[in-house]
Amino acid sequence: MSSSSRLDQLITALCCLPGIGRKSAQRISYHLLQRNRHGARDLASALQLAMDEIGHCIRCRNFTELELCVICSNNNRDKSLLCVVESPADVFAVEDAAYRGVYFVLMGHLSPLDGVGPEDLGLEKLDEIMKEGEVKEVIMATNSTVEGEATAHFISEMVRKNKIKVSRIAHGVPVGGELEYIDSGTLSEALSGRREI
Amino acid sequence: MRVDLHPCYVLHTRPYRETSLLVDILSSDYGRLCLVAKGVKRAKNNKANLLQISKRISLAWSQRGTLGNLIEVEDLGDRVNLIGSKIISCFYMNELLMRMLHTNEPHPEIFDIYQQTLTNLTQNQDEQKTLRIFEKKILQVLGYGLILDHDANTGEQIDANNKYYYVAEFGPCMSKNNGLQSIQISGKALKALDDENIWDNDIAKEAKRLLRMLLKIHVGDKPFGSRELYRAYLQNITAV
Ligand SMILES: [Zn+2]
Repeated sequence: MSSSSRLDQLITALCCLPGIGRKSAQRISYHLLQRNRHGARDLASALQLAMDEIGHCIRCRNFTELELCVICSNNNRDKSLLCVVESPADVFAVEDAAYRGVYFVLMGHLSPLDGVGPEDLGLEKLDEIMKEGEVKEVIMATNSTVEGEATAHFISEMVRKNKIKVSRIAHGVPVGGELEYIDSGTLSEALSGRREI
Repeated sequence: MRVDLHPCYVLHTRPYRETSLLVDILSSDYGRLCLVAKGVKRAKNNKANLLQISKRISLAWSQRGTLGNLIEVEDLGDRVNLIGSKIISCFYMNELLMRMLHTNEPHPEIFDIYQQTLTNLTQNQDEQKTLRIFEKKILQVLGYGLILDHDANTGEQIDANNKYYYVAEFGPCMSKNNGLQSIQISGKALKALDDENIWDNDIAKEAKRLLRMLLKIHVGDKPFGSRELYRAYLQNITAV
């Protein structure tokens, strides 16, 4: 073996990153060893801390190292508005859209052929939150896939039973989008979800 | 081998590496098979949007060995819109086919049955009845057809007022056959499943028990995720 075993270990470990194959892992390893040992140490400790300490918010299930995440514990957020999303990345996206309510993160969607059922999405917790009585509207922001629709439908039945208003985010023409480039599925969604102007 | 664009349905997709999908499909010409859809989960690739269950689409792929490599997806403008429990029914149809069909075995009749069943679901026909007929037809095409019109022992026509034993891999008869699995079923339910016409709650229950027993022989004891989801869904909409 020409390279040291520690180096091999590092290269193999780096391959766990998305989009990183062996070649790139090698390049990254040499770069860190030659030019940025300090940055690499910071990365190592940040990774260590994150993996050890980040869990799920007991209320919304989003990633956090706290018991209650910063959104759930923020008194300026509108607690009467609850947005249900599939993943923490979706929370990021909705946050960018200047949303001021709170979230519930499913960490997936209903997928019976993969064995993912309602109990895997924390729906009991969601039901509990709705029963507290503070939530006035639930916004279903699951993906616009068949699984996402099935999940939205399943949850909306739960919401209705709690006599709470439920809405689905609109799907349609992207801002700045030109009609001729939009696929017919999106366009038909946009047409059926049209509003008066 | 290159397979040109032709009608297909997606049965199931699974993530594969970071940006790809493994797509199980039902092809009108090639039966059930698995395709690798490379890079479809990249932000600028909109092929993944079309790879949805319950939508009739057109696919082309190249094939070496058992896996195909997806080349092209075309929207066939299919606006089949399943809602609520109908989506769960579609999950069930897919799960059943995934477990009943071997890969790379052409079954054009099954494609037609699948398509017809989806249409019936969207046209608000009785969901349970639609699924039972789907199961019956799949068994038929695969060579395990049910006997529903005559007594398998005597050859006499089924009498709606009689009680029968349906013996697995044999058929309906007046007596149990020791050693072989069987269930009791009314002549009325046998005739209803045969005619695909009249239907009520009792028939639905009996037909379900019969088909469960017969399907189990081929798919085994492993529970169906989609049946469990359906149960949870029913509880969800009825419980107060
Ligand atoms: Zn939280």
